[in-house]
Amino acid sequence: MHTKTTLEMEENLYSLHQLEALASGDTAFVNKMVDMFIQMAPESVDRMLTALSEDDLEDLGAAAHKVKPSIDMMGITSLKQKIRDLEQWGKNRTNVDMIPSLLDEVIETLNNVVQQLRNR
Amino acid sequence: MRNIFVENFHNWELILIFVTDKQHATIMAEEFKIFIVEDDVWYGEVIEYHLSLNPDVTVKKFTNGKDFLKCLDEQPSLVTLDYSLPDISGEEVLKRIKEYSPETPVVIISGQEDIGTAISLLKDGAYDYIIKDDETKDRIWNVIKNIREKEELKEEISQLKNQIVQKYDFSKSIIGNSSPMKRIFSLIQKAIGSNITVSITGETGTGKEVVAKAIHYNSGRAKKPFVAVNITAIPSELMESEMFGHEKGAFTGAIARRIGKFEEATGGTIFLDEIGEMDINMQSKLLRVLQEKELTRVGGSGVIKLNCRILVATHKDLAEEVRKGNFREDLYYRLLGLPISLPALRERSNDILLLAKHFIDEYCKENEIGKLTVSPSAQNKLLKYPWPGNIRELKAVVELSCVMTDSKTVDDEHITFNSSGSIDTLLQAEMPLREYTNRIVKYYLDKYNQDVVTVAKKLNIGKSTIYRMLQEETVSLTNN
Repeated sequence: MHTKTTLEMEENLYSLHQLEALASGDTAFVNKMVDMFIQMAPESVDRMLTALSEDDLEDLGAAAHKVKPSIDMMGITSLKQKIRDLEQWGKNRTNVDMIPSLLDEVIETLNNVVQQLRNR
Repeated sequence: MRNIFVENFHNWELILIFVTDKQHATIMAEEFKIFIVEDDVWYGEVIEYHLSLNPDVTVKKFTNGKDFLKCLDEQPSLVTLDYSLPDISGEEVLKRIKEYSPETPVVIISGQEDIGTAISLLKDGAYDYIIKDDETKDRIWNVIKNIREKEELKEEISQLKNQIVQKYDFSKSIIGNSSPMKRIFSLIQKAIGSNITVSITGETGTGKEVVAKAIHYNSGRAKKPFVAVNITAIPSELMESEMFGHEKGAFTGAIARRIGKFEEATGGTIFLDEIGEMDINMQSKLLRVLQEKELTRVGGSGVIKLNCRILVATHKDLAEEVRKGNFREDLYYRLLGLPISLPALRERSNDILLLAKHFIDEYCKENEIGKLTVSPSAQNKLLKYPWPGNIRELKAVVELSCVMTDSKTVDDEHITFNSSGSIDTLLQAEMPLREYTNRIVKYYLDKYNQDVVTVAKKLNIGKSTIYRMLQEETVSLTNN
C-alpha cells in the first residue's frame, strides 16, 4: 500500500502493474492489451451514452458490467467503485437522477486514461 | 521442486509457480484443451494469455454462444463460460453442453456476485462458479489442477480394475495340467456362467479362496464387490451383526448403524470361508436368511433384500459333520449347490513341478534376480514330499529354497520342509514300519539327550531293542 498525492493521481490514473506481472517481461502482450483498451474504451463510452439518451438503463448497466474487468485489470482504481455503482444503478434502475453525473465522471476519467495511455 | 512457469510473477501467483515433480508430470501428461466463451474481448485475451503460459494447454476463444456450440464436438477438456453472453444465456449454453457431453467440466465466469444464480448453475452441473476479479486466473488454474487429478484417478481406477480382472483370469491364476485339475477348470467355467451357490472343499492350502475369486472376477458380477468372510475369524457373539449389520443402539457398543457383510456384497459375491466352523445357532439364522432371501439388521425392523451370490468353502467334510450333528442338514443342502472339491497337491503329482516353477519365476521377478532352475534331485525331493500344507506350503518351501541357493540352480539341499508337520504327514510318507520305528526312536534319543534308559522307559520297550538298533546302525547316537 502506498498513498499518492493528488498530483500523482492526476498524472497516473492507471497502473499496468497487474498486466506486467502477468506478462512477466512480455512487453508485446502489455502493448497489445493497452492498444485494445484504447480502442475499446471509446466504444464503451458511446454505448453508455446512447443507452442513457434512450433511457435504456439496463443496457447502460450491461455496458458498465462489460468494461468492469478491464478497468480493474488496468488498475484504474478511481473508477473501481464508480463503474460498479453504474452497473448496479443501471441494472436496478436505482439512483436514476444521479446516473448522468456519475456517467460524466466515469467518461471523463476514461478519456483521460486513454489520453495518458496514448502518450505513455 | 521444479519451476514450470515464469518466475518473476506477482506473489499471489507463487502458489502455482512451484509444483512438485509428480504434479509436474501430471500437468505435462497430455494436451489440455480449454474453450473460453467470453464476449468481453479484452478480458478473454487476458485469460487466454494466462492459460497459454503452460505449453501443453491449448486455448480457443469464442465471443458468443452460437459459435461455441458449433465446436462442441471438438471435445474440450474444460470450458470457461461467461454467464452474460450477447446471444444465448449462460444457463442455456450450460444446458446444451451438459446434454451433449455431461462429463465436460464447465466453469462459469461471471462479473456479478449473485449467489442465487451461482447455486442454480452449480445445480445444473457447472463445475465451479468464479467471479471476475484479481484472483480469477488463479482459480481457473486450481480448477484445471483438480480436473486433471480427478481424470488421473479415474484412469488409475480403471487400470486397477483391469489388473484385477487379469490377476483373476483363472487360466493364469490357477495353474495345473493334471487330470483332476482339468475337471476343476470345467467346473469353474460352469460356476462362472451361472449364479448358483458354489461349495468349495479341499484341504488347507489347496486354493479355495483363489477359486472363489476366479469365479467372482470372471462372472458378470466382477465389477461389484467380492466380500470374503472367514467364519473362524469372527467371535460367535459378533457373528450376526457382522453378517447382517446392526442398527444404532442394537446392543452395548453399537454406537452407529453398520451394514453387514451380506449388504456390503450387494450385487456382488459373498465368500463364506470355513463355513463348517459356523456356530449351530448362527446356522439357523443363516438358513432363514437364505430361505427368505431377505435379512434384517440386528435391532432393526426394516427388511433388506438379499442380492448377492454365495460361495462357501470348508476344509471339513460337511456331509460327515451333518452325520455327527454339527452341521444342519437343511443348510447343508441349501449351500451345497455346485460342489467343487479341490484335490490335494499330492494327488496332482505332475502339477507340483509346474507350480514350483511358477512360484520360482514369480519370486525371481519380484526380487529382480535372474532365472533359477531346479536340479533333477531337487525335483525328485519335491515330488516325494506329501505336502500336507498343499500349495501354500509349496510356495513357502520354494521361496525359501530361492533364498538358500547361492547359484542359479535350486538343489535338493536348498529344500527344507518345516518340522511342524503333523503325524499325518509322517504317515503319508508310506515308509516301511521298520523305518517308522527307527524315526521314532531317533526322535526320542535326540529329545532325551541320547539317554537310552529314559527313552526305553518312555517308549515302553527294552533297552536291548534300542542297543540292537544302534548296532545295526539304523539309528545313530550322534545328531546329524
